[in-house]
Amino acid sequence: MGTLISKNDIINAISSAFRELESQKYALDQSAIVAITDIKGNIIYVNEQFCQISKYSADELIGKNHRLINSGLHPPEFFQEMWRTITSGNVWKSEIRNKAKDGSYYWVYTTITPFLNENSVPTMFVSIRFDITAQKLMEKELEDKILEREKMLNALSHKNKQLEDFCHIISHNLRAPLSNLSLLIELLNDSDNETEKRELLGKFKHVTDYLQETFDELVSAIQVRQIHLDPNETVSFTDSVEKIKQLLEGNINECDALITTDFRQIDRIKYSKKYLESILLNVIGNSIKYRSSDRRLEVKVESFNKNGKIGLCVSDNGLGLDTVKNKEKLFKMRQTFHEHPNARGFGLFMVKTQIESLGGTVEAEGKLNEGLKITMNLN
Amino acid sequence: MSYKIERIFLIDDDQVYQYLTKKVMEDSHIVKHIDVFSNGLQAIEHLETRIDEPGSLPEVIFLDISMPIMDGWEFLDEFKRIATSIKKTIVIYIVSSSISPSDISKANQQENVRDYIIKPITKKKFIELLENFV
Repeated sequence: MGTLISKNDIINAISSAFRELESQKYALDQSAIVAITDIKGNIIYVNEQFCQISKYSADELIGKNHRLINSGLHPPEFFQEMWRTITSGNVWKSEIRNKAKDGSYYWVYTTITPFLNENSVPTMFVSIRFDITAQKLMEKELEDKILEREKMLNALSHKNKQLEDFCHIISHNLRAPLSNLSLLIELLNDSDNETEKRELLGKFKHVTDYLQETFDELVSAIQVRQIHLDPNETVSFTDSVEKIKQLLEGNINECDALITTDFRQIDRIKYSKKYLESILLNVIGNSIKYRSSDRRLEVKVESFNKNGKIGLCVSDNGLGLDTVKNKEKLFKMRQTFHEHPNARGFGLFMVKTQIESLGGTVEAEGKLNEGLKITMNLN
Repeated sequence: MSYKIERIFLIDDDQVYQYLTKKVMEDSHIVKHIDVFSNGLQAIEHLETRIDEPGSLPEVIFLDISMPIMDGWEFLDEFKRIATSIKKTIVIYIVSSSISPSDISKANQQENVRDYIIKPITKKKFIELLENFV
């Protein structure tokens, strides 16, 4: 006799399967955020956890499109890729940021599984999510900390570089007059000739003047680096250049210099007025000082704005110099390149110091006897 | 009077240093001629035009590093270029107020440089330096 399956057996088997499904659903509902949508993404089921985290009631959610909780963080391509995956019958997994009813955001690790009919066509989508907001916050905190540390490291190495520069300046620029002084004193001590003594005494003034000048320059450079200016004032390039032209009026008229400006790209910048004027005075002053005697001096001051990066470009047709050869030296203290009686080698050093103290950069390009172009990225 | 050294080049842009060092050298009575140049270019041009006149060439050059137009390092590059055409042994000392180790080690790597001297060149230092001079 074959085995007979009784009606009771079938009912028992079905109800046991149901019970098993029920317990699985219970376990899932306890641990995960669950939603089911139709193939258009309209919500047809949400569990209690979904309501808790999204702060919407089930009534408010059912029938609405899933877009309701879109936080706007992810680009359209992100969701296009998701739809492509699930409508072709595949499982899609990713981290998503969603927006709750009160406007707050939460992060969920999401798995979307399409339910397929007998023709393997999706009929609905089941999404199972886990709340990863806390991990995301920690990740963000860690990233911020790393970023902050990097910033600190940069600031430190910048300070260190400045210290090295100062050691260099002191070893180069302050030792020179000091060694002259010690030699002067030795010679004075050795001398028994009154005329010679007077001559030597006369040299002291040269040295002390130089020492004083170098010292003052060092102090002003140190001050620039120490004072942390927060440029909250808005300055106009037009006004600043006008002011410098007035200051240099005598020199400009003397050589009949032609100074043109082009601030069509941008005329205003959040910057220290004092520094901007000092920078322009040094750079335009240099153009006048190192003009060529063969031609009328032309200086062009232009502003530029490259995606919010604002700067100035000053070019002239003066003596110029080989910037490839002199790249390293151009912006250093006490470096001069022409036999000009008033060349002090301080202007461009100060320009660089001021620009860098406000987070900018400066570079020069030029050719000997053709002119010089100074490009300043101010912010 | 016989001098131990016929001719010295002093290359430095600091005029007070030029005056004082020249004085130290003159007072030592061991050098006959002292030619002073304010930058490397002047000295190189002088050397080049007198390359065939050994009497006009120096036995010793005192060379500063930091100068306008052509600095000491650039002078050494130019000197290397003409060195083979010079029929005289020329000893070069780098003389600088810089005490920076990077300058000193750079100077010691230069093939034509005998030594690095930190300023000032006192009478005692100068005589000591040239006493051993052959």
